[in-house]
Amino acid sequence: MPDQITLASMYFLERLRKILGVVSRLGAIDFRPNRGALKLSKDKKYYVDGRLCPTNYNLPYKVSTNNCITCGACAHGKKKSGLGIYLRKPGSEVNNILKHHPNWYEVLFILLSPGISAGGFLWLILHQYQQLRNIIGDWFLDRNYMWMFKYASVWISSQRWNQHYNWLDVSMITFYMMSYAIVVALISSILITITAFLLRTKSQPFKTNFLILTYQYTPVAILSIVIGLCGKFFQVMAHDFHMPAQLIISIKSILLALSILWTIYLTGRVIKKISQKSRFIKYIGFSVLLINMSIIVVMWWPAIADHKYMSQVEKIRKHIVIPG
Amino acid sequence: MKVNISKLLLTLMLSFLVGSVYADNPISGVKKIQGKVEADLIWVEPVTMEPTVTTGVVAHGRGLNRKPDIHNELDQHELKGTKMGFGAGGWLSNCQVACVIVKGQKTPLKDKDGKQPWFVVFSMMSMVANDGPHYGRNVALDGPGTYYETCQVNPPDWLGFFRHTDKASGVSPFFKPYEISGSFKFIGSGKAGGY
Repeated sequence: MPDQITLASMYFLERLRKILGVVSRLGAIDFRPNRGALKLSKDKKYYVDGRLCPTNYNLPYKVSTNNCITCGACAHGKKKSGLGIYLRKPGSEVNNILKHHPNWYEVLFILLSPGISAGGFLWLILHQYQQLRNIIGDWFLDRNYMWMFKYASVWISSQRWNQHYNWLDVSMITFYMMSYAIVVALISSILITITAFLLRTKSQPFKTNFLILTYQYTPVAILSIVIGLCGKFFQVMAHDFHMPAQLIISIKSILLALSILWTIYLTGRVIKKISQKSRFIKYIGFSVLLINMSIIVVMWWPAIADHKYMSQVEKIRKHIVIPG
Repeated sequence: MKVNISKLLLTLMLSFLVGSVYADNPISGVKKIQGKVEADLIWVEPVTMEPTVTTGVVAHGRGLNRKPDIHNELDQHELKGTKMGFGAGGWLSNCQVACVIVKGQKTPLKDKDGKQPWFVVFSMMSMVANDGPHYGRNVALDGPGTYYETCQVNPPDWLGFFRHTDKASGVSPFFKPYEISGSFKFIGSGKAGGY
């Protein structure tokens, strides 16, 4: 039975590997060959099946951590393979991403994750979601498309005594989250494109710049997912352990601020390294990315600060507004 | 269709600005009655109440006693500048609130073809939530559709709520019985916890 549990958890970790992999690119811990990674010859591959590493690294050639689940088998198992555990400057891998197997799927993930995580929060918080749902729902109702209002399957939606998600809810929530993901990714892409274009050089063309700059967004991308996943955690802390709302807001604000500052720091370092461009152009490029960071903060803020909309009725009931 | 698309686009654009939480769903909109009372019919997702004997769902037609679809509320407060004694913005207690909700048309009368619309008649109970006291009731509806609601509200003295009338401590007469109505499109209650 324990073996089955281990296998199950390994399988689960395997599914999460790509996300954990992007996180581990930021980490201070690095498993790498003690004598430095060997240069890959033509008959070798970076990944091989059935060796010591559960994520199939061809260990002597390991230069990246994006597949690494930091299980430590390569450094502390019975069979060692010449790898050791090292401390490094956090974020150094994304700062030097070209040497650590960047890939475009990760770029896509980094661009999409802030929007999709925020969207997952904001449909619960923003009144605009409700307005949008009403417009779409009314449209279906006016045309008598009643199938949209049938209760959705239990495996995809919540069905409680006072909460019945119908197909309208399922499709609207999905649409809302995806819209956030796409719009925020588009805004970030456009602003990164501007900076990448401004800072292009012969040795570092636009495409490379875009890739490098996007990787510097990793802290804010990961933090978005963490805040998204922590929603229930903070709810439990508030309801069952009476954690003050102000403390919850402070914790979330600090986490968001740290991730933004870290992203800004990493971006600044990358831009500073570009030698063939004037300081003025670098400042402009950097400022464009700061605008992007501000947009992400504004987007997240209602969820972080738990901004509550109050209808006129609620304001009157709470004596915030006196009807006259 | 054109209007809907422009509204949709506007809403999408607004969605990316700072906004906020779920609201109650308006039925009548805020009304000022006889220069004395602010009144508003709304609905939110069904709620649980105590004592439990009063949480019975009001329903009509097939599937009586089924689960509620909405929690229907009447919000009612004294207007600023009036002297009924409840204070400016104060809740008006001890009122009788009798309501009818009809599906598809304004009255429960038979239409031209002799077809009776779905309707439900009920009274609202006094209750308090974390945002203050109000009148309310859980109601089971007849599925998605357009509903029309009309409520008759009688003043507190009709239920034996007395008022002082002497010069030193007296208050002005209560409001006269009034009717408040509105409509709403029910497309499912969505997420619970509507306040």
